[in-house]
Amino acid sequence: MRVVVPTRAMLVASALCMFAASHQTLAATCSCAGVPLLSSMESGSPDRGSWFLSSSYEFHDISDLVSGTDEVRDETGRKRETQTLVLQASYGINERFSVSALVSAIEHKRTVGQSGTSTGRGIGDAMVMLKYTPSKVGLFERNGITFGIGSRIPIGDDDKVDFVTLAEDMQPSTGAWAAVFWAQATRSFSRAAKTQILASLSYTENFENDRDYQFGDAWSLAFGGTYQTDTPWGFGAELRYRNADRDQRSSVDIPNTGGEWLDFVPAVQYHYSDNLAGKISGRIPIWRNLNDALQFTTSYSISISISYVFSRRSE
Amino acid sequence: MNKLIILATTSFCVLAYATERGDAAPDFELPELSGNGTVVLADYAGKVVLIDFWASWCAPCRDSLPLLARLHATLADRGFEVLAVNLDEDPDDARRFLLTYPVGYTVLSDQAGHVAESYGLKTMPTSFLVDRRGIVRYVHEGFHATDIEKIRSQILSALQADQSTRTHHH
Repeated sequence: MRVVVPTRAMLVASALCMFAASHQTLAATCSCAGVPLLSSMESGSPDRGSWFLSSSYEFHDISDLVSGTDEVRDETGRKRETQTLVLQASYGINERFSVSALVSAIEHKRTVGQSGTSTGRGIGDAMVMLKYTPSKVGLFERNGITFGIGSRIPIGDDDKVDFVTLAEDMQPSTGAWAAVFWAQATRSFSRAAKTQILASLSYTENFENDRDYQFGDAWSLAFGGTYQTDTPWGFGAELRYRNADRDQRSSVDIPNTGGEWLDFVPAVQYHYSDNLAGKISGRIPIWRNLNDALQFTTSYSISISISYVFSRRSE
Repeated sequence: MNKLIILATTSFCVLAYATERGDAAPDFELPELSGNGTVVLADYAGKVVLIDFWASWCAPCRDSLPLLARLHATLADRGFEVLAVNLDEDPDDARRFLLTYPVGYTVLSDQAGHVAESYGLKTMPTSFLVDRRGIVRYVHEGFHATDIEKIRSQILSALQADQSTRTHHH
């Protein structure tokens, strides 16, 4: 029986969240012309002529063995982890439109008992997204909404070899294009916008790679909130639901792929200055319902990022 | 859908009418935060005025207010004034802030935010330098400690320019 780790959909979801993490932000520009408040980083787009740059690292432990909704004790001594480095840049084209791009570097590692360790390492996928923000949370606007449309671009390696070609979930890149759609709504409760709630929706349509493998299409829905204290510290939390179809090869469903996940995502941000902030966040599984007999899935993940805003100052 | 259209239109209006360099500074009448009556901008005609929008929750304002206070102290005898317009929705937050960061210039309360909206404010803090004729000469968004020298330079330029004009006309 093949046990497939559905990490690719997770990577896209993470990338989308990192994309969303441009901001915030960036939405609550009633913050002081610099790195936006925590919630802003999750939602919006840079101001006109401003750049938002960020670098993030994620460690993802994928060692929970799950059958349907039940966690199963793994007797095989299997261990699976992924480390991801993402570099992201966003630019405010004008008051409404911004563009974001990211590139990734990935290392997958799988250990099975005493059999040894397989590693797939290299440049992962890139992603570009055009964002439209008809309304941005600000001094006199309590509601923000942003729509994004983009594409995942398979710029990395998808044919790494470890005696035989590694499985798709061990490759750094998906080797396949995808269309990505995303929307986020934010609401603040005061001019200072210290407290915000947000909701986001995303959908990824995956295409086949050159080995006829197609990762399952996925959509996700998230609800959360953020709070910026009077100190440099900000806090956020989100409940994130994701639904992924089964993977396919040559249009035939791959068993033990796809399913539903519900995760809790807490985050803490620290503003070193107006323009520079660091953030640490995690992903904690609350519930999952995975297709078919057995799948390895997220035990937990932890992410650290640093962000900088180059503001265009008007005079 | 109607609400969305109103939202979009309002946003557009705010953008379309943001006060910029060269514009006449929108007049206003606001209460003093201390409760000692109201202040009208038009009463400052003939002076160079820095209208500084700030709030207690604006972190850079902790740097800007003391530096502007020092600037005002050195230039007040040359016809320079600061009108600090506070945007706290609860004025008591502003009063508590000023206990820690006291200033020697006039502080006004724009609790409803109408004046800030009329100036097209987008970022905090933002300052508008208004010359003796009521024209905006300089707009400064955000604040870092090193910005004070640029602001000082713009104020001195406004004071000297207006002084030269008056001398020439005489």
